[in-house]
Parts: sequence; C-alpha cells; structure tokens
Amino acid sequence: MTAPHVLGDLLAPDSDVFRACTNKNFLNNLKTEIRDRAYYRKPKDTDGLSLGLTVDDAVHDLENFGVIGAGVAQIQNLPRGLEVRTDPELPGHALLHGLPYKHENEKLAEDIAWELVKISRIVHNDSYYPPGHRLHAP
Amino acid sequence: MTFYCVDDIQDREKRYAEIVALSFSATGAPWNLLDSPPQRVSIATYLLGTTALAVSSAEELFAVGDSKPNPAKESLIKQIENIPSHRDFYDADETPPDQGTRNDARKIILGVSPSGVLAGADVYGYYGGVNICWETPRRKIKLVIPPHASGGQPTLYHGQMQDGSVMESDIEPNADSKLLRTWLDWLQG
Repeated sequence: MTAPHVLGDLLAPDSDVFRACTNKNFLNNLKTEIRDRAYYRKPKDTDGLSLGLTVDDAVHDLENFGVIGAGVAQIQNLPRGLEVRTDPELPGHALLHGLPYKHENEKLAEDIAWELVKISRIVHNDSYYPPGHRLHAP
Repeated sequence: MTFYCVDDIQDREKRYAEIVALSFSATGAPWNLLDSPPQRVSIATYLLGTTALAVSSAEELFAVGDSKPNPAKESLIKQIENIPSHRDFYDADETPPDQGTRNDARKIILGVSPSGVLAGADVYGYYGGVNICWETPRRKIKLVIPPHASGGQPTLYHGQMQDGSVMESDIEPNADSKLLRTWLDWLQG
C-alpha cells in the first residue's frame, strides 16, 4: 500500500503551468490543435495530472513530442473545483487535482478535458529537449 | 477515365437487382417501399415513383462502394485506415486500434448519408479504440469505437459550450450511422 500523497501549495493565479506531450496523439495531425486526450486522467495518474512549473520542468527526463501550457487562473476559474498545486516531493513539478478518472466518469472527464483544451495553448509542437536533458542534441 | 472490373459490375448489378426485387416483394406489388398506397395516383405514376425510389437507394449503396466515392467519406475512411501504429503515438501501456476495430469504425461511417456532413473530422487511436471528433466553436461530438475484441458498443459524446464551460452534454450508447447522422446535423445547427 502506498502512502497518501502530501498536498503541496496552491499555485499563484498569475502563473502558468506546462504539460509535456508524452505521445504524438496529444496534438492533431497538423500539430495545430490540442486533443482532449492530453487532459484525460488515467488510472496511473493516482496523484493527479502531471504538470511543470516551467517548460523545462514539464519535459524533465521525459521523451516528449511537444509541450502545451495554460494559465493557473483560467484552470482554477473553471467551475469544476480544479486545483493546481506544487508537488512537495519533486521541485518544479505540479499536479492538477480534481480531475475525474476517465474510466469512472467518462462524461465529466470529456467535459473538463474539452474545457481545458480551450484554455490551453501549444508551446512546442515538436520534441523539446533543453540543454541538460538526457535527449538534448547540441 | 474510370475502369471497372467485371466482378464490380456484376456485384453492383446483383445489388441493384436485390433492391428492385425488394420493392416488388411481399405483396407482389411495387408499393411496399412506401408508407401507404396513394389513393388517386395511376399505376403508371406509382411504378415510376417506386422505381425512382429503388434507383435512389441503389445509388446510395453504390456511393458506399467504390464507383462514386464521396470526397468527405473517402477522406475519413482513409484517416481511419491510416491511424498510426507507431509507438510514438501511444502511451507505454497502450496499443493502436487493430483491423477489426478500424472495420467497425469504417462500417459506421459508410452508413452515413449524405456524406458531406462527415467533413472536418479528427481521427485518432486511444487505448485500442478509434475516436472520431467533429467540432465547431461551441459544439462537439465524438464517436468512440471501442476495441473490437472488447465486445463493447460504440458511444457518441455530444456537448455544447458557452463562455468556456460545457453547459449541456451526454454520452449516447449503442451509436450507429443513423445516430451519428442525427448528431452531425445538430452540430451544424
């Protein structure tokens, strides 16, 4: 049995958070639109949906196919009770709390994913590996 | 120039014959394709009307086949067939849709008429299933075809957004071509 996750602090409303596209299906074929699956909470996302405080934090140690971002205020202003909190166990990491699991409440998960897509933007539409990343190519 | 192989022509002629035969079956009269027999229409007019209906149905069937491909339908079928299988498109614990699942999706799309309403779809795989989305600034529908081996039924999500929030939405079970057509009409409404 794993220990319950310790909640971090709420992020300031004027900050942004970023999410790595961990597969190519997060974006449409033209890489111009974000797909709702970028914001589905799956069974493995026990602590919440993984976010980074910066673009570099979002792709930390991850193979990625782009990065998307959104404003914390816009996320927390959705009438869904969502919270964006720091992860006390991993500096630079944040978690989106309050998302339903897709397999438990599919309609609500679809609704919220669509709303999150609407307030999100594409930061990188291709793989992004900053200096220091294990996959960085100079 | 269009080339038809003999098998295609024979197949189409057979399907046409089946439709015409259907219109004359049961009572032996041609009006069983219509809701009720007309009261003051000559049999000649009636035969013409029924034949036109049969031909219309045959044309729709042929449009489903290869002879008169509709660009929107053809493009969507290609998108389904071309859903990537490469691992870059999926999570580590995820598989791409197999051929049986793609065929299930194809069947629903082929049954939608008229085909123009199908334009603008985004198609992608999700955990062995096929997702097909259509969206306008305020409305969205998504046809979800589950993995064939799961034995599950396709579903259709439809939602309407206002000021950035989804105001109305639902998921319809047992989605088929007819249901999809109904919600595609709603999407444009």
